[in-house]
Amino acid sequence: MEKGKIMSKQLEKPFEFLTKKDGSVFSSETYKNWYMAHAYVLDKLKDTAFVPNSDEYLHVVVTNVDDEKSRPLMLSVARQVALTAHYINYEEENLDEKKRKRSVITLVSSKSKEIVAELKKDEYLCNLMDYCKYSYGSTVINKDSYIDIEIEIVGEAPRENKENKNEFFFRGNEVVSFCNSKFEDEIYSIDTRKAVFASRMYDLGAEIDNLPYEDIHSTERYAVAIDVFQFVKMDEKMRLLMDESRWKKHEKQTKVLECLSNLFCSDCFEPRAKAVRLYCEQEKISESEAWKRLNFLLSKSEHERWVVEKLILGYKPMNDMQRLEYESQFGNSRKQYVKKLKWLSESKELSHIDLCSFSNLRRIDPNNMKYDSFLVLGIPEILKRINDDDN
Amino acid sequence: MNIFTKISKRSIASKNIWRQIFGAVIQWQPKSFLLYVLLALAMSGIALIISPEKPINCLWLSLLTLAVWLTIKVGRTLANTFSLRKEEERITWSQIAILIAIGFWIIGFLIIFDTKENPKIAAAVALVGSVLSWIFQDKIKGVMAFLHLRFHHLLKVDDWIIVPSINIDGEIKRITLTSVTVYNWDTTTSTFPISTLYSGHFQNLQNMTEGKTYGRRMFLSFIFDTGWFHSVTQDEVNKLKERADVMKYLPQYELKAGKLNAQLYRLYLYHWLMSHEHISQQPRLIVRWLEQKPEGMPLQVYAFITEGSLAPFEWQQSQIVEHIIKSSEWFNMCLYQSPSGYDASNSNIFFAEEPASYRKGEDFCPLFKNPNYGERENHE
Repeated sequence: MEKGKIMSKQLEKPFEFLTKKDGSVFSSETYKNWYMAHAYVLDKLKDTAFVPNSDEYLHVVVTNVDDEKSRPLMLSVARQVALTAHYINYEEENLDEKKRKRSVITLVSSKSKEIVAELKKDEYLCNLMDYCKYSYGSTVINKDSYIDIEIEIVGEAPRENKENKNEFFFRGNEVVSFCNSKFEDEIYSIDTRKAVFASRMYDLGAEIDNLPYEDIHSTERYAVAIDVFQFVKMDEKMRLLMDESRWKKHEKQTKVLECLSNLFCSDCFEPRAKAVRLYCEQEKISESEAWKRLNFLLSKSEHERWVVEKLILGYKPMNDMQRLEYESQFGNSRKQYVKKLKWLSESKELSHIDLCSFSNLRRIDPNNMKYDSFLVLGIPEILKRINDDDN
Repeated sequence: MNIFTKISKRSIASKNIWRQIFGAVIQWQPKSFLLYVLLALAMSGIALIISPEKPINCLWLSLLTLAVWLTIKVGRTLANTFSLRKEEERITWSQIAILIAIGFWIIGFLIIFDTKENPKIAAAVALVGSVLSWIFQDKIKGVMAFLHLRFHHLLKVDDWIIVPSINIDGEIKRITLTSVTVYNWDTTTSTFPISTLYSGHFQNLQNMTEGKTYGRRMFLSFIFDTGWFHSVTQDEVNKLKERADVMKYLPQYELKAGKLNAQLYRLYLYHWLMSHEHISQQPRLIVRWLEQKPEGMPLQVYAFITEGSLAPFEWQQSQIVEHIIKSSEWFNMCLYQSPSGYDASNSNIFFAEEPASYRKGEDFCPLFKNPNYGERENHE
């Protein structure tokens, strides 16, 4: 491929690289369901976005969960919604947890405990269920969770209100019809160009380390970084997202998790850009000014998305013992310990120090907040490049 | 309120800069106008003295003075509005406009009186210029300081600054070419030359209070009485294990009989602070023993509280101090306090035959617990 030029979409099948925590592969049906859910959910939610002061929130009702045939697909749909539905009007710090505007996923099922157990499996929500708010009947678990996704399991589907643009009903037959109406490549392959650019932005964040203490979300601070990204990193030769030749054998699964992280991150670029455009119209300012003003909120939303994604991919926050061990280390040994926790080859359970609320991240690991900021600053450039190449 | 005043106020209140300038121009300020009239008369007099053969120069000079006066009037009027709205860029440019106007006046003066052809006038202007530069040297330094501080974004309206050399500690309310006005925390107002900030040292704490840094530093020491330092017994270990608060913040492998209680306490405090929701782990969090003093061993806490503004910071700091005091009891530690008269009269070191009538309870001083407390030994 000619350097700097992307002639066509870069289609890959990234999900097949992911394995269970014990190293075994998922069933082919699981992978197939993930692709179908990915294509369907991204298509349905592509126009959903909120401005910062909006009181609205996304509500997705997933039906056909009790049907044994369609359950795996519909739980995969719920999984994809959890990976995608993160918006900038979520208020983690609101004392009234009902006013936080979490995205709500309602699963219609009369077998709530069974569904909860299913959701905790590696192929669905995995560790997310241990930390997000969920409810069934009168039982509410993790009521004060900082996570911006809420799951509820109800016996009867709520009445559909077609006037509410932010309420969606996802039915099994609709998902299947949607996927059948598309070409196979459109469903069972994913264009990874945005994800590759997202990974370059993360690498840039790792390179630029000497940032002063002040104002982590000041866009002026990162102006130089954006120039490097725009004029250097974007022009590098396009490569595959899941490029096994670049990975060492022992780090394969960790690299797979990193690449999938970039993919899920890039899935949220369009909704974020839409939110910025809505904000422009509301405030009557230019897009570049809007991106600057919303940098903090977008970074916060990106961190919230990242937390959910990591929990779904099998990571957990540090437990008390790990935390005490981490605090007892200093300097390089502390850095090595953190690295050890998140590398699959060394840990039995993957843990990440940054799996916490945004306000806690500020006090625990503020240096890593730059990744969210950098990524948000890079989104308009990435989308512009993709649009230009597609046209 | 007459029509001109209404139009002027409405124009100044708008956000469009040209309307604001128009409003400032037509604003009637009688004292300022009187000053202009006096200046114009003085300039006319100077023009007639310098070049009596060209009376038209009086007019040119008056017009030039009018232009400069208007610019200064507009600049000063709008600087108040811009300061209220904290429009930093406009504050800077309004001051620079005044500077440029003065510069044009000087150039205009030289052109009107054709100093190239008149060496005597040129020499007189140079002499007057030197004398004025010497008289107003502080003002000139102020202008340079203003430009430096503003273009490097070191100073903005509402910034909290501390200037130790002149005992200033407060919020900036007004910045002009030559002076800065600060509302001090004791509600007084201070105005000082801006050159003080350029030539000396000042602290700008605004970023810290706005939460744009890692946090606000808490730097306190607590002196512990070393008489209470001892190796923990198994009983004490068991009592500590019963406390969920302690076990959450103390690694299990550290809690063993034979360890110094002070060491366990320091570890506990460190882990407790690391988990505290208002303490930033970055850039550093240190809990350490300092050099021993006659009064005891100081334990120093060096941490950053995430709240930067005064009241929340002091609240959090006080809560942390209260916890330090409370938790020290769990480890059988005691803070040092130099004895007061009350302590002396209630001690068991007797200076008098009979004990004092106002005693503290029997169990007050456990280290010196005496079952026969209050009874006098028979020394016969």
